[in-house]
Amino acid sequence: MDRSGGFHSSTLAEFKTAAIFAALVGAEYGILGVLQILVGLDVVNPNSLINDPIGGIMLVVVALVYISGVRPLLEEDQEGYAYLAVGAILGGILFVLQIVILGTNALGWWLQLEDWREWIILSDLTPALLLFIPVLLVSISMHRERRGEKTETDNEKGGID
Amino acid sequence: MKISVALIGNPNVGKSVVFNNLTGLKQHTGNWPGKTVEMKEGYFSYKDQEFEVIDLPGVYSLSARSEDEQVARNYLVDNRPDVVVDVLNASQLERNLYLALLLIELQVNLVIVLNMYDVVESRGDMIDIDRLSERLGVPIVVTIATKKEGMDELKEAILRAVPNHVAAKLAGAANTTGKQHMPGEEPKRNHLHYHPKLHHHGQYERLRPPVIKYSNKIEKRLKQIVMILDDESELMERFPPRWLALRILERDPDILSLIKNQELKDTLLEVTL
Amino acid sequence: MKVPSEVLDVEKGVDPQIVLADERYSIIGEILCDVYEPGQAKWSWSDSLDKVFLHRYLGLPVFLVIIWSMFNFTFQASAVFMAIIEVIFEWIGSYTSQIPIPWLASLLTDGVIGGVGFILVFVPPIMFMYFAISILEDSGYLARAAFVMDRIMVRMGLQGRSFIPLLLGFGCTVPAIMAARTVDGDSNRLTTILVSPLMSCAARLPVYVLIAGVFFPDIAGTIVFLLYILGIVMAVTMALIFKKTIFREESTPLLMELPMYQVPTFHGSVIHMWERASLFLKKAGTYLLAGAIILWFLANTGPGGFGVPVEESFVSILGHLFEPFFAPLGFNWQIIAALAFGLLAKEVVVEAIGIIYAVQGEAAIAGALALSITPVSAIALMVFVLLYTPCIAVIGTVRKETGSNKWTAFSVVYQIALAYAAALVVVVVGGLLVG
Repeated sequence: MDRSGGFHSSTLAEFKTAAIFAALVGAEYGILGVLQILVGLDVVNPNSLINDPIGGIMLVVVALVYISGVRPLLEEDQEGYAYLAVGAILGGILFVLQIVILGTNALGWWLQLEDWREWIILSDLTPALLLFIPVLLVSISMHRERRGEKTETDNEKGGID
Repeated sequence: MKISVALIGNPNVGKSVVFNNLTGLKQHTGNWPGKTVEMKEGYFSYKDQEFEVIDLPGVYSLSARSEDEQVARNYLVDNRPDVVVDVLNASQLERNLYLALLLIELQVNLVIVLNMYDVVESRGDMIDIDRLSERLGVPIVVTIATKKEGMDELKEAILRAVPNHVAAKLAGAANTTGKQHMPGEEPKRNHLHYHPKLHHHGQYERLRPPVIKYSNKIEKRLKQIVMILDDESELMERFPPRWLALRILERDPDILSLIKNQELKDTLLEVTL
Repeated sequence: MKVPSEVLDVEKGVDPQIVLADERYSIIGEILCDVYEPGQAKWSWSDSLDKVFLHRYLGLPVFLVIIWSMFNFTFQASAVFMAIIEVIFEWIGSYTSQIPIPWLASLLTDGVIGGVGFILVFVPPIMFMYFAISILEDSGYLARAAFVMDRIMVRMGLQGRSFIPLLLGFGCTVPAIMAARTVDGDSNRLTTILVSPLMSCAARLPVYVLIAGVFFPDIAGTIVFLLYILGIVMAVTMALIFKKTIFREESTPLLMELPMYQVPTFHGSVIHMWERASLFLKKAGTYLLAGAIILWFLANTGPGGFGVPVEESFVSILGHLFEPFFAPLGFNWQIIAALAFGLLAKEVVVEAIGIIYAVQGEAAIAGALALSITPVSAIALMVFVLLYTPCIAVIGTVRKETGSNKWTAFSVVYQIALAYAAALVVVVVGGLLVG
């Protein structure tokens, strides 16, 4: 792999920032994922509105992807960014899924269908939804920043995200 | 009469997008008798000429090992379409050119499409199209099918690739019968590039010698095989001779099973690399 | 394909095919040297994304996240649309039941609307599922999923190429069995044909959606996901068992091109979804409608003539006939009759439940179901539906593809036996857990 190639030659500082970002997001997803599993199994807070232990496992997987990216990023390997990207893709899928579910539930509530009369928005504000918002914000700002410096290289990235 | 065009290419090269762009809504899917492989058929017209396009299954080679390859190969060999369009993924030339070489072996009227050219450009790669066309002896069109770029150029190239005798017939000049080639008319040494099978436009087809030749050793063996097969009119009328020789050299089981005469078969199998 | 030994140059030790392939590649190499100049940018996202998606350890969990999301999308997001369709049919039913001719009112209300109308409720999850599959396919991920699974299958001594037919089995078992033609080797192919029906096809989805929705409304998506996983596990396990007992053959590695990643287009996915939905609607308008009318007739006729209560009908006789056999699983005669009719097509199970219980709307059927079987038996029922012979069309395709009555019979018998055994395990283990 040609690291000095035309795609994007990240500086040392950029790799460090990315590694810290990956570690932080990974930890966030991991902690909330484990928490969601425990809640789902009624170990903690059994009266929670959110009861989806397997959804918690999914968050833990996202955490694992992010955390796997920390090492290559610290070793200044471009490949590390792929872990960030896949983590964001998976987090994004879970986020969009939750948004869609929230939207359809809201539709049911609005139509006052039988099973939706008691729906409240809080029960759909799951960790999967909340966790992705900071990732999204940081990604957008990073994207903007890079676009300012290296327009050409970001065209390629934009095609995938 | 319509000009028959066959579309072929590796899987995932955007072949069906090219097909859809060419034919638009004038298409239908047909199941071929006894086959699970589906082929689409469509039509388009260009410069007052009607074209009939068949979308062959995506294949990597023509070895007839899978059903897809078998369908594609049998169609090309038995129907001899007027023009064959090979769609290549321009960003993976090395792998995609393999099929192109096999089609050149078949001595069909080939047009090569370098599709997904935008990927090549975005990577900053450079392909010398004219030189490639010259080396292969095949006209090349560059397209970005997803953006419908290069489709008119492709139609023009297809029209130009139509062999003269077909074009003449379509133009209404039917009095060419006197100059028609007949089997056995050519001197023996030209047999390698002579395909006497009755073409579906009612004439015999003269094959152009391929620009790509293999090493002397292989070409010598091919001539040897064609000489041995000289009297086998049934085989020689069915397949392009050089292609037939290549398949025999390759020990293609399908072709070998067509040779019923055991003595002849043994003689042929003595010709080895 | 077996090459006769006379064809190979055994004594010289060169395969002429390889010599010619080398020749071709050397010509290609030479031409490329002449005309091709690689650019500077070699670091591509496609390659590096594959480092993660095809990662030795992360690949499988990532696959599970994506598939789990797909099922949750299929079930949870479509639930509200199902409810809307249901309300519409209830409304139509309230009019048809007013028709003064009693048998016509019953045919339309209990037969057509109770059967076909009830089936149409399941159009949204089917559309959503195909939408999701289409996105996965267009993005280029589905090929990677096959690759990820292949690694596991090869490790277990199975042929990786079988995964593609198995993957098709998520849509419909018939094309899956036909796709087994691409598998090398007769025994590998036969194994694939035998285990493909265990992959959960789209027709089984309505059954899960109904039962899981009634008994486990909060985690229905997860339950459906687990059923699909069980189908995969069972397919792989059975393939392994067949390999170790009936057949023995070496497996070859999967050679497959991985398409480049692309952002899927909404337009393309919608077209795909619509294609599938219209196929389903066509089926509902023909086979399922005919099935519903026949079922309605059988549920209203018995030895005592037409118009008898359902307990005295032919359907009830059929159900009661097998009742002792299914008693350990806790299925009542209504469910048994529905399962028997389910051999026509798996959607009919749902249709039959609608007709036999002869009540309107999902809510009423849910109530009736919840009263008649326990949650443990409900899981057993879903497992049974997952594993028993999918439908007549599949039996016909197996017969055609294997060309053997023996293998066809074996396929049907082993699947019913497996379904029964697995359901029994669920009941026993579930009974122990519940206490």
